[in-house]
Amino acid sequence: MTIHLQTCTACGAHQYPERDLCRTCLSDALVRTENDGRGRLIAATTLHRSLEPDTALPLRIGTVALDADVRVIAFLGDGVQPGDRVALKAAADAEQNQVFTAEKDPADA
Amino acid sequence: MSGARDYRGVAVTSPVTIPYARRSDKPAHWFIGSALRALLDASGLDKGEIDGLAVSSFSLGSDTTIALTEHFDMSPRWIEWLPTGGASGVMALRRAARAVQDGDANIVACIAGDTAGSASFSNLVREFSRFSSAAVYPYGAAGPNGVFALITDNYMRRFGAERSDFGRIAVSQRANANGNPNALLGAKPLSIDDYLAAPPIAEPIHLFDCVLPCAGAEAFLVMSDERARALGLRYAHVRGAIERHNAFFEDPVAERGGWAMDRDALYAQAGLGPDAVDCLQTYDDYPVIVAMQIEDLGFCGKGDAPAFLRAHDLTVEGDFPHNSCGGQLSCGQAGAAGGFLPVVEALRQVTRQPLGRQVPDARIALASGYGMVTYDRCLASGAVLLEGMA
Repeated sequence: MTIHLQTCTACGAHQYPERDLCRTCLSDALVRTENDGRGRLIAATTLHRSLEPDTALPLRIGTVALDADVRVIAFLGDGVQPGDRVALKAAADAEQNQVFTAEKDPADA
Repeated sequence: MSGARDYRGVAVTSPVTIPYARRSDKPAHWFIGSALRALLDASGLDKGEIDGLAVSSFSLGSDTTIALTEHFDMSPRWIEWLPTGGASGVMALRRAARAVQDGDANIVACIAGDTAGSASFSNLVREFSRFSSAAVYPYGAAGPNGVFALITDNYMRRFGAERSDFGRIAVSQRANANGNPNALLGAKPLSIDDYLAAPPIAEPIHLFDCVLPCAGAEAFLVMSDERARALGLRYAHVRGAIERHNAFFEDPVAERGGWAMDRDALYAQAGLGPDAVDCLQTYDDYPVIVAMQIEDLGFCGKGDAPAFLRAHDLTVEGDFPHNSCGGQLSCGQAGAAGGFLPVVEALRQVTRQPLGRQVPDARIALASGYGMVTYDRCLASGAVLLEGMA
């Protein structure tokens, strides 16, 4: 499974969330590139309250530090714990934005 | 090494608080205008003598400082709009001080105020920033609680903090809030057992780690010290002040804030060190951020706040008076006024005008600010050292 990440073709920096110019060099030359979404889960929480009434609680989310040098807040798959190597899977929402879930990285023995 | 100019000749006066309420039908304009009226009452000034106006608010809608000049029939020659929440008190003070030093304004009213109601908070969170709408809200819509739970989770694992360490912050502040008639939770005792047993909101954050949103206002005046003396007002000098935004943006999760970058400059400007501080007023919407401020403002090393908290008494009568009016966790967070609270309380303490308890012999107070979670951490930060002038 791959995700896509906004990438600057001038300096190579990836960025998330998406921006209008490169966060590093301010170039306009941004494209979306495919990425394997691999990284490490560095923080996690279980939500017990939500501002949206139809959120299914409790709900686990976490911060993933991608190898691509960006950090992503994602839903957590079963059993994923901080410190684990993970891989992000992306689903599309109604506006075709990526919605991420972090699963244990199958390549991590 | 050259640093910023000092703040000599500047006086901070007239701490004002408009009473907090959990809900209000009155718009933010009412709270801010009421604070303005109270500043005039406290100082004896006429409205026409205020020629500078700095305002922070989340609930003025499309109105900003400029609109308020019309609401209140003022013609200031200097205005400032501070959409920076928890850091806005420090930032207002720094800007107003320079305006007075440079003669761009003689008397600056610095005011933060917000209204509150069931709809306001949800709307504020949902629309807070492009990044939070795109990349945080879709993941459970937990608002800042979710973000700070992640920060707290990392901090606890990284530095061995336990919930009871953070509980010391909440419990000592509740004790400090007792005696402050404006503290919405001041009359309700809170023990460490109550704190630990509270229901989870976003683990490891539980109920008493989360600030109560409310309506209210906080304000102060900035003028020359000569003018303050002529008016017979108790005042504080500004020994030093810093701010820093989006510090350490390469840290994958927030473990330190802007103060760590500039605290040496702060103390150098002030000509004193952390040991000279008589009371500390941190921005405490979540206890983990208090721990970070204690570390990053130089009271202990990075990651050592848990041990520091276990070793010190943070009550007004203790050996490390902290958030002496109760802070926001026991007062409630009146929107942007939460960012003014540390500055106003620091001013109250060193000028002997507390709403509740007085830290004995407080002469030097350090007030800190932190605000604006646009993605996964607050971006704005600052700190100011105030010295009470007898």
